[in-house]
Amino acid sequence: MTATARALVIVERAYRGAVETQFADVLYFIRALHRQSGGLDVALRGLAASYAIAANFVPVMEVAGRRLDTLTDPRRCVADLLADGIIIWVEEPDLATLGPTASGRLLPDVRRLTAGGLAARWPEYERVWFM
Amino acid sequence: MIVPPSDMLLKVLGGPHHTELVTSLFRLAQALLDADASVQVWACGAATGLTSASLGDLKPRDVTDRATDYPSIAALAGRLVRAYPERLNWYVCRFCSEDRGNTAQIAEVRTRPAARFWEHVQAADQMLVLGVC
Repeated sequence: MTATARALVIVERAYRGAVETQFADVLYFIRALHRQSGGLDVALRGLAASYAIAANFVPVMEVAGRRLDTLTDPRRCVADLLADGIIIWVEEPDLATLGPTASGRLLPDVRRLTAGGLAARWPEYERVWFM
Repeated sequence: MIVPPSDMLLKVLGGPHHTELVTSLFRLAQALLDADASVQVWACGAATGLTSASLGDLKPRDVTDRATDYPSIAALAGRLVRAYPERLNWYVCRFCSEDRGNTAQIAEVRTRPAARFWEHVQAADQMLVLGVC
């Protein structure tokens, strides 16, 4: 194995607030950390794998007549991470858990791994963090 | 104080930024108010921070999009109470607010002694508990 300077950041606890969190979700801070650190990869596990699946859901709600369209939008954040050059991994069993059509709706450029593929890659990273 | 009667008491024990619980609270409260129901919110634990005055009206700036204003959760709670002054009351547990460092609260909510909580239960036709402390 060739060690790289990159860190692997694993996100497996999903949907940690919308109306109070808005832009400031875990993916926002991962994006900032990517810029600070010079490069990291992300793994979306468990329910967080759904962040990388295309959906028509639009995160909007109304509060006392105010249309609040600044809610947390993890799919848009995933697109931002990819645009910044972050590699995003998802394992096939997590996609299968999300339903029969989930695998076919994985966002373009998100990389898929077979079961156990992520753990096999840990030695390639200098650091592995859970966020 | 005599607690005004309400159709529903939403007792909030869970805190923000861990799950979608706070979003559910706002959607539930809005849906009840849209259905002409009267509502009390009673916040305990970390939920006392939802209406902390120190949050101000806006969240910190998004450094990737400085032009967008994001309302704070306290501003949204205050807006909801102001929009339904006759049918929505938002109470904050004094013990929990002191215990969690949230003693300075926005003007739209009322701090109440923990020992008075049962009066709020009795004033409500139904109660729904959201989360745990």
